[in-house]
Amino acid sequence: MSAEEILNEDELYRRFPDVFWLRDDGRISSAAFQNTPNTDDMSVDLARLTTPQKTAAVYPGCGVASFLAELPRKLGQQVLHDPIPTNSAHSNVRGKKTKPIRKKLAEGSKVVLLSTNLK
Amino acid sequence: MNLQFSGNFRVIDDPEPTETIGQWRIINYGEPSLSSASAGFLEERTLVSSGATPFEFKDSYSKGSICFVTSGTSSFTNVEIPESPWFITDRINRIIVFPKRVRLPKEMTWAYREYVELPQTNIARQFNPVFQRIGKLARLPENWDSYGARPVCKNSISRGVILLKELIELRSTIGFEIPVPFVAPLSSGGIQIEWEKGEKYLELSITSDPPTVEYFAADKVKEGQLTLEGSLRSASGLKELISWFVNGSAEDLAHFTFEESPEASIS
Repeated sequence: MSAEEILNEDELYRRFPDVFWLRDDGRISSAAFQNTPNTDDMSVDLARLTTPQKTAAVYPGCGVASFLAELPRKLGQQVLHDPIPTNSAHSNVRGKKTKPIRKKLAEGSKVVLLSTNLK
Repeated sequence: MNLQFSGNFRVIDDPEPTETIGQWRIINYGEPSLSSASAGFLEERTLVSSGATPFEFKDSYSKGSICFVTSGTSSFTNVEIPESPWFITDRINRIIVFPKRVRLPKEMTWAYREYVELPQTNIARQFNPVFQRIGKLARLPENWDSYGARPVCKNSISRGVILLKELIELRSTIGFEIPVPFVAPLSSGGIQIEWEKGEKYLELSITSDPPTVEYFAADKVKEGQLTLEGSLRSASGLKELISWFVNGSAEDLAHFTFEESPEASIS
């Protein structure tokens, strides 16, 4: 599958283990928005090519947060579609995730699925 | 001698004071071992009997006023007699000082020597779930976040526990409540401790590679958001940050006089 252009209006899904990263006040911890160790990328799914359930199903105990592609771009990050054999929606938010950037990503995200809703 | 928890009160059975000064009794008990700290704060029940060491007593309810100072196990200066029990820690000995008969502020109007409420008791109980949560983080496997996260390293766990215990101890010296933080694992193998209230945000991230405690503080100002970042290297820095979070303003954040040389920016 070839890579698609991701528009600012496109929604992105970020899978996260909600038992660890969902705070008691219902907000997502900024810890949920880190790059994969030893990379410059944070994996997300392009929402129009998947569903929250599919994104969450990869790993037990995970919920799904969503944000618009415009948000990381405004923070100086690149958003690139990067399909892989097991996930055509796979994309990357590329760039260093400083503490202020992680915090802004957390503030601009909303929870669309909790792991408890999958049981 | 045994210490037990009962309701809001730490009950001291059959107290045999290490020393009696006038109408006051002094009991020392030991610091919990680090290895048991992550298992829960209740491990503090371990007792040792030792003589009083020179220390300052501070009234834990009215902040900062030193009521009397001992310079040894027998000499003392009695400046003022408070009505509530006192509690002090000097990192080596934890010391309870209480009058034979004491008025308690809440549920009980009077208590005798067996019933003493310590300022630390409540905060320790509030923080207990945080310690338990940190204990669980220590057992996370590789790839716990599904994106290749590393297990949380033991060093980060130990340092997180120490930092939280320092916060609890701070409570006895700064004179105001310290809110219970949220603790999250980091995919790099560290842990993050965070507080948020209104526009104020404070985050401490503990990593082992390199071994640092970094802070990130944010508050709203007229021009936007003021943020402050840096490495935390001292207990006084921690005290300043917590004091700002609980009582300070964005202006205080802008005028921090940290020895850590923070970097401030407005975005």
